[in-house]
Amino acid sequence: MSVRARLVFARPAARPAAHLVLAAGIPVLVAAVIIATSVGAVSIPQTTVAATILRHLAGQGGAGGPADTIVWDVRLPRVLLAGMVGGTLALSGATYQSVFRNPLADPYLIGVASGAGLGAAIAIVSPLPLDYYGFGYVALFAFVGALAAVALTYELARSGRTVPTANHVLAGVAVSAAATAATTLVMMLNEARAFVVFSWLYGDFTTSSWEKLRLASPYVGVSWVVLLLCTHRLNALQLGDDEAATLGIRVERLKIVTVVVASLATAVCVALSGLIGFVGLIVPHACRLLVGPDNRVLFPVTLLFGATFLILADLGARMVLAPQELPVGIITAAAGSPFFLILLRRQRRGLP
Amino acid sequence: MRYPLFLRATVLGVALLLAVALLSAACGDGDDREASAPGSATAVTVTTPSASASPAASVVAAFPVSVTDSGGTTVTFTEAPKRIISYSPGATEVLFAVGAGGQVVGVDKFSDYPPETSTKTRLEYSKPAPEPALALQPDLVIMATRQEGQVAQFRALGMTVLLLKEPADLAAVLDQIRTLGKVTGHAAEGERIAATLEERIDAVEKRVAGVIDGPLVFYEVSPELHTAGPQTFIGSLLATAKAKYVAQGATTAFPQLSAETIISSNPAVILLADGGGSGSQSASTVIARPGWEGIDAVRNGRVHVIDSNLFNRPGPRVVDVLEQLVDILYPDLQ
Repeated sequence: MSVRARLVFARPAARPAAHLVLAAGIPVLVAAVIIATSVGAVSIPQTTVAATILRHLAGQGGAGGPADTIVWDVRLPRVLLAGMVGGTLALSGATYQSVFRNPLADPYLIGVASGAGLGAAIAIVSPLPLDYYGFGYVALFAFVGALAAVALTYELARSGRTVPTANHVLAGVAVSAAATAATTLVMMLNEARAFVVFSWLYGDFTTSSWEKLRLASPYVGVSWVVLLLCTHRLNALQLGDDEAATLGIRVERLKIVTVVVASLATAVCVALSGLIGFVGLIVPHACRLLVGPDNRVLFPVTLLFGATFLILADLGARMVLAPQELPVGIITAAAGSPFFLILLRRQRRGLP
Repeated sequence: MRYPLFLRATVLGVALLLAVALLSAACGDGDDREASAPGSATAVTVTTPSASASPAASVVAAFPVSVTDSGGTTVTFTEAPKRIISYSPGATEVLFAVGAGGQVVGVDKFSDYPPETSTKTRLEYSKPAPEPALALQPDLVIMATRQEGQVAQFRALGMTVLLLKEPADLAAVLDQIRTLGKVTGHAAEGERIAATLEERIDAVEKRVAGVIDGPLVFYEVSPELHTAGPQTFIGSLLATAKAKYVAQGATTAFPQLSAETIISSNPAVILLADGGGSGSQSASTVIARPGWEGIDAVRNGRVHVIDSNLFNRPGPRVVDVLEQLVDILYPDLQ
């Protein structure tokens, strides 16, 4: 990066309050993990929960019995997967909002969701074995569908060697509409399995497992690192493409890298847990209201609070009507929107 | 570029969290937790624990019993399961019919027959969470078509799962009654019930043996005119009763038809699955529909509200349904 760019961005961007929010993020996340693992449809004493986890972490293996399986093989992978998906969706949302300079951008903007939905629907109605555990055909097809939609969107929007932002968003809308129509057609032609497609589209963490976490961690982890490393350049992009270019930033390359990485991570999340709305749109905005627009602080805060938010939302999904479960998307919308509105009003009054 | 110290610390912290997640994933995953590769034909042998009291007196079948489920998995039982969960309303009815009701500890929320099911723990039907199931410590979990995607997950958590997809025809219902009798230690009772039902089916078939040109039926699933196609259980019942039906050539399970298709095909009998307890339709609402007053079924008073739960649920009561259907279709045939 050129000297000029440094000068522009060496301002004291992050407020002291922002540092505090970021510092508080990790203990808050850890607390959410602990609470969500301790509570469930089945009542298990806190001491048993703690003992079970400590025994496993110490490498002593399980004590056997339902409590051990529930805490270690059902709840903990579910909580960690919810956290991973929540953090990733929020981070991807923040990336899209930054790259497209569009406050309405969410991780599903450029076709990931509808592409994944079409892939999953095809896998579900096909004669292939249906298995939500691990990375079965449904997840595989969803992943491929998501990437295909993103590639198609990109190709449609490309004009020569550049991809104008407006084109990209519009192409995303068109591809999404086409894929959604195709998904509906697939469901209509296979009513017997339409309900299965439907419940997949909703998204939930019922079928979480260590297997899924282990499969997703490498992709998701790499995406976190790459996106967190790009925050400085994405700050420059907020000035506009040409301005960023004069600061020595290779704008097209930056856009491609961040969008591809964010889409890949989103595709992994969607493949494993279905479509969970709202997190990717609202969490980055809420965090922006808390810590300001500097991506260097905003991105890590978004990652932490996205994880915390979805862990707590999934806890709500499990507990509100326990033992019956709700789609987690209902909770994210119901809990997220009032919270967001409060933040927005406070911001208008100039309080934070 | 330089990041503030706390930021670098955060990234490190996140990386650490990730590492812990990965590590614990590796630890928590025993050898028996191997996820089956997609598509590979899994033939796992699952055995129920055999460290408990001797089977009840009514249990006479010889164990071990091995059965192959709808997923192609062979499940072996060394003794009769004593804590059964059923996620299938049809299977629940069969379990109670063969005398295994006392061994059932949990049922899905749609398992409402027989009334004794109300004393069992209620569980979800669509995408059931494993936690409430584990808490019941089942030694057999029966899953049906809707739970197919979770069979591997439940097995990985150490539960013995038998996947019994909803039967597509009467013969498959009888098979399931025999299978469930066998694995629960009530083989003789299962066999007896299946044989009785077989006799009654034979009687019905004899009754309609002389029918060459059965009546044309419109089976209405919804007021939006969804109907049942040949792939459904209803389709197979109608075929057994030698009825023709409006959606006979349909390639999908529950196709939606236009009113003009139904009016022009002029069915002799209309069966309403969207009336009674399942909807607001009745003979009088059908007559009120524009253009329907000229249909034979409407003019001749042959619009019947049927119990859609019974028609949709392939359990031991399906033969009641078949007999009821033949009574409706052939009032003169005894």
